[in-house]
Amino acid sequence: MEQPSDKLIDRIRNGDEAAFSELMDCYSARIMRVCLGQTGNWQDAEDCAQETWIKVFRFLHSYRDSASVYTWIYRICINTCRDYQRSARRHQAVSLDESDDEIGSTLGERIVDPMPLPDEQADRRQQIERVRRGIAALPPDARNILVLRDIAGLSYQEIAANLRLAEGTVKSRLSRARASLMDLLREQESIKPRLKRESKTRRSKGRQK
Amino acid sequence: MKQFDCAEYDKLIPDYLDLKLPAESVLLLEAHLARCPECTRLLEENKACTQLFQTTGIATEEIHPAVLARVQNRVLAEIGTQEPRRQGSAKQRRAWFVWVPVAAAIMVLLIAIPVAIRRMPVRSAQPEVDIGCIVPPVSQATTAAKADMASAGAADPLSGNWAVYSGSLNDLPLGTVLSPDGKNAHAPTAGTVPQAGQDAATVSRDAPKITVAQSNALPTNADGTGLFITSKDISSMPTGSPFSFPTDRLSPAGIVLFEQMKEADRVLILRRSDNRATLFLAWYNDDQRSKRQNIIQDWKQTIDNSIQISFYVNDRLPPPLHNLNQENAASYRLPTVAAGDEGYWFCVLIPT
Repeated sequence: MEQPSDKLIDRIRNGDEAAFSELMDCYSARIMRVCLGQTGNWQDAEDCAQETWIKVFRFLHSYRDSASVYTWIYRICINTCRDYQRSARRHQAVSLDESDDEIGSTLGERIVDPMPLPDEQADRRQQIERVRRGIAALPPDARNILVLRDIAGLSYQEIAANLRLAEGTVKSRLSRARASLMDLLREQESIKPRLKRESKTRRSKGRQK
Repeated sequence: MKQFDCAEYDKLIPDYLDLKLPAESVLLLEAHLARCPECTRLLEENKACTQLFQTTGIATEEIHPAVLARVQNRVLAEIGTQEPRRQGSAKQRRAWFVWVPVAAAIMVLLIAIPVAIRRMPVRSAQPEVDIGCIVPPVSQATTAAKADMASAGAADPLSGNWAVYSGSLNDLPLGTVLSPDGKNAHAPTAGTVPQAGQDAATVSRDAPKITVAQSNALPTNADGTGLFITSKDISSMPTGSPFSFPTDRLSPAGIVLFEQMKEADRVLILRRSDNRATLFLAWYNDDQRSKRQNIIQDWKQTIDNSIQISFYVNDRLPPPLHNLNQENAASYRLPTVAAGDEGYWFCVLIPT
């Protein structure tokens, strides 16, 4: 993706909304994917993406050319997702009646998918949701690196600068994060059939009563 | 040619898979892989993971334009009402001069009125917070815990009283002195990792984050009695390390801690069975504070010596638990301890 020109940044700094829209057009899909990777669900991801862009607009004056604008935006994005999750835990009594059986039936996805998908596509979407939830369940350090590298496609150098780590550390953590993710996904797989069995048993017990 | 130890090889794996590793390092890595099953497994997991990303297309997944448009519209609506910040414009400088006296007047009023009316003493720079929770001396520390502390060359923290603070450390000002009624407790130094003898739960908010060296399941003692947190160095203590009280000490400790839970801002109580837990109660906010106090009252009646309580110190609610509430209690797998976990929350596990 092309780096936005300095001119564009200057225009945004001068309050040019059209220029800001242009910047969003460049990166909004990628930022949304990062938010999805960080939060694991569409609704939170949308909120985080929105908050990220508002912060980008507000703090553009503090952006310096030392970092490319999109690594700078990613840094804001990751911090926003982290703060969002903390604050959500702090202030909300969460009541999300969501189980592993209901992957892909979140509000966000219903909004995204107004049309039924062909089976193959639906399977793929379901698999993405599963992976995404796995990523969101990773510890923050591992998640950040995995999302920045494997979802956002940043270079190791950019990630290292972004997270203030040595490149070697980034690579090392990335390889560990990938392995953790695979472990997590396998764990989820092994839990799922058991949960289904248990809920079936509960239901049949309920009927017997 | 430089030789690496095992821990050095994991950083070569991403480049190896991207075919970007220099030939010299490829030789080294492959020679190592031939004799190291663990690194081989790591490589296989990395391969599987990158393949999974490719087949699902998660990195290139098309985001529905309607979603992007919705986000964009909301952002534009929001920023339409504000100007981007600029540095040092004449307008800003003027605004600054105008607002200084107003702000000063407001500050004076804010400070003076409560002082004048209530005659309150001015707070010291390092206010004492009464953590008011003294757990009686624990005389029956497990062998494992004692050995642990001995190996750390630490004084036995269980020989005296020790304090458990379950309030929100995030809200305490820097430098706050935690004062457990001025008695024999181990007050932490703000901004430091607790040393041997300090209770892990009293770590300051600015302590270096708790980093778990390895990812593993719940720690247990060899004798299966549960662990005491020795707190010799919180950075080496797995997040989620439970500490349990010997049953003869449980009742007073349990009750005192339940009192403290009223103030904690995140409390989970789970009923634990093997490696699974059922959420019994969960509180996240002030609105439910009175409700929780009533429940705690009821709970006091039901505690008996057969219950063990384990406390978890963590900040990151694992997503499955994050989705729970008391109406929605269901059976969930216990959170596993994972590398990079950090922060504080309290979780009480009650084995069934």
